[in-house]
Amino acid sequence: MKILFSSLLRIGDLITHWRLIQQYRIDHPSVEVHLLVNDTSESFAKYLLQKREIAGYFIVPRDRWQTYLIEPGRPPMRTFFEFQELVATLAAVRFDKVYELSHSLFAARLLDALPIASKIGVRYENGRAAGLLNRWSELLNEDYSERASVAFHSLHVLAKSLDLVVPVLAEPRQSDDRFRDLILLQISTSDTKKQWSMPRWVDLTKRLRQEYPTLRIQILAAPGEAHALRKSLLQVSSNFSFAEVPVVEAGWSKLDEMFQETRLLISLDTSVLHFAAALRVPTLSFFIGSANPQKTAPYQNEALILSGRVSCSPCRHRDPCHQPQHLCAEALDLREIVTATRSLLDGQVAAQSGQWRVGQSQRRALIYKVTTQEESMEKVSSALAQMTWQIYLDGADQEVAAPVGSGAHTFLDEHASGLFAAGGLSWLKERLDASEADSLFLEEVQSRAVRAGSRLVVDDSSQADEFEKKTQDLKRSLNEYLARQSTGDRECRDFFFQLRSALSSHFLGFVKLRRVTQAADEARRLLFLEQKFVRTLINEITERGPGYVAGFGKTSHDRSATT
Amino acid sequence: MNRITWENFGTIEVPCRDGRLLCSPRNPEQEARHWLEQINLRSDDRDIVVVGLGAGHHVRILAASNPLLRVCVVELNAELRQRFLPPASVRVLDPDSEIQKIDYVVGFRPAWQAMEKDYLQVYVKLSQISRPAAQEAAEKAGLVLTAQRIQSLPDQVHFSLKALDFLEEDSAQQEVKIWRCLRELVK
Repeated sequence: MKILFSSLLRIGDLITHWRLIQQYRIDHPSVEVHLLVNDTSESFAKYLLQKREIAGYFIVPRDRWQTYLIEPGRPPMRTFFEFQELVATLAAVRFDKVYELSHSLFAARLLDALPIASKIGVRYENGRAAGLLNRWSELLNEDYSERASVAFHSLHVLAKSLDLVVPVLAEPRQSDDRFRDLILLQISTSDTKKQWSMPRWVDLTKRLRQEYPTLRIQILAAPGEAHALRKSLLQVSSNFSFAEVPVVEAGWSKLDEMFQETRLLISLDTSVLHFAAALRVPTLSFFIGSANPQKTAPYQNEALILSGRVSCSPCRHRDPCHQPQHLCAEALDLREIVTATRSLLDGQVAAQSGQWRVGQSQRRALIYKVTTQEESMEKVSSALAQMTWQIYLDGADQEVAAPVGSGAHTFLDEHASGLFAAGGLSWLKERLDASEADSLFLEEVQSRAVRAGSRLVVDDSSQADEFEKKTQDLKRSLNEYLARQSTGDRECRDFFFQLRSALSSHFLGFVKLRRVTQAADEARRLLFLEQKFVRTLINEITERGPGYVAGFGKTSHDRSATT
Repeated sequence: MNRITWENFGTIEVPCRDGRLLCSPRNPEQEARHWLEQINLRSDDRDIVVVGLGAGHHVRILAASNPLLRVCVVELNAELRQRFLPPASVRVLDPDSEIQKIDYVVGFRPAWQAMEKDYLQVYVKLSQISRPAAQEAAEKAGLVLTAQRIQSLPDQVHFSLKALDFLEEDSAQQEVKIWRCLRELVK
């Protein structure tokens, strides 16, 4: 059986997608996997072919096609002929199935032109949108990139949207392994918004030399990039010692070798970071500009991420930085980085406020931010929100017996000690009260929206204007309510996101009414699920009584072994 | 008329057409380098056509920038051709094979002096050699491509697919699908 995976985004995305492909190969060992990638990602496809991870790959010369289509003096017709050739080549292979991982309009259109019987993923079919399999794919399609509150890694959402198994989170190697004596720094990225300033990198390098004199420190450069990088470093520090901290050019195979000796990679949000995470190298990363830890953190347990604590961060990928200075990059403090490095290399220091952590829940990524509260509370709160979303997005809330009970057992198995540290029953009761208050408020918003919408009449613009005013009032009320209720865990369980977005949307009249109603319905279902879930947790703990509390932190396997 | 004369500027000899200089009299090398920076050359470009030879500095610098390039110069003036191009290299381009292979057509405007319209005509013809073909192919596939009005100003004369409006899209043929996909690249 021949399967084609289409990954037509950037190289970092392809590396993340590779995890999904690896998982697919584990589940389907007899299949022959091929890749369809952009020319910019060819180097990584070659690496995968050398490692026999794939049977072959095909290239879409996207960048060149774009140039030929847009620029005067270029031959646009050639793109058409090359496209036809590509389709014919793919047709000759006779693929049984194609999975579309890119989720872009170009990729969706391309899938329409491919003569493959079974196509999975959002795509066009004879010019019409198709392939929305479930709520996950709707989430991915509509607003995942904007929806800050859904605590799922992009890979998780993508896998679920394609009905594939979510890859197991990579476990890092032991960072204190004495046989590994190399600290690698990936200090450049092609995206200027994600850069950290060169003088700060130089300071960090010097600091690391002082702190870890027995370890080797090297700066990574892409093939052909080392000269320019050395020049930039010398511009900042004319006495920079390349003997002590060499700049090393490395392609994917060489990186693979170097990672065998690496104890820690410190990196910006780059393809090298995701590669290291996949190869189980412990990572510390700086997410600056549009880099969003909640969506694209390294898919690795215990990865540590630092991001600038400024209100505009993360910004939209396509927008330029609007600030007079690169605030989110400047907000990264050298001392904080050194402390984080110590915690990873020596295991000395606990997580600091403002750090993002990658943990796991049900062996899947759970990305949470450490604020002023205890880390355990952050983690347990995020896990609870994730569990609620998971049940909703799986569509299990529509089943007669939603898997709340089994979910509660799993949750207690994994997070009992965190829950206990966060306050146990009293914390859960507070959470339930907050959720019920949200439901009451939501009912009021819903009835006000329906009342306002009932006066809408087709072709009556004055009524549409009146409705628009009322939705603006509702938006204000909602924002005021959320501001009043603002707590640390609100951030990770913002079930009102869709409603806020619908109330702010540019749609008018009936269309807006429909969107607001749908969004309110989603919030209602999520709150209902959350309450049901928290009540089950409370009952579980109460019924089992002190005996259960004494067993906090043990897994059900441990418990069954002792009983 | 279009008579070629040669002016001496110290050590530099500059060709003139009807008294107008065909490259910079002060620093033609720098002018050529600046021109090279302005054109958007890709690393995978191979077959380049330069319209306008002038004193040839830009052609030499372009050819030196990448040894894999195959540079073809279109020059309307026989005297310039004879002076700067080896006789064996001068020939007529085959429109069916060679022209279709061109990756990039670029013009060197200073060399067009006093004959701008003629050079422009050649440039437009070469640079858009496959654009009418693209339009025709898309029309056959059921898409009507209408170019926005071509302005008379030379700088705006080149239109790209970006300026094409796609109408009627109800056909389900393979070619339509390909054009729809390619359109995503120019949005």
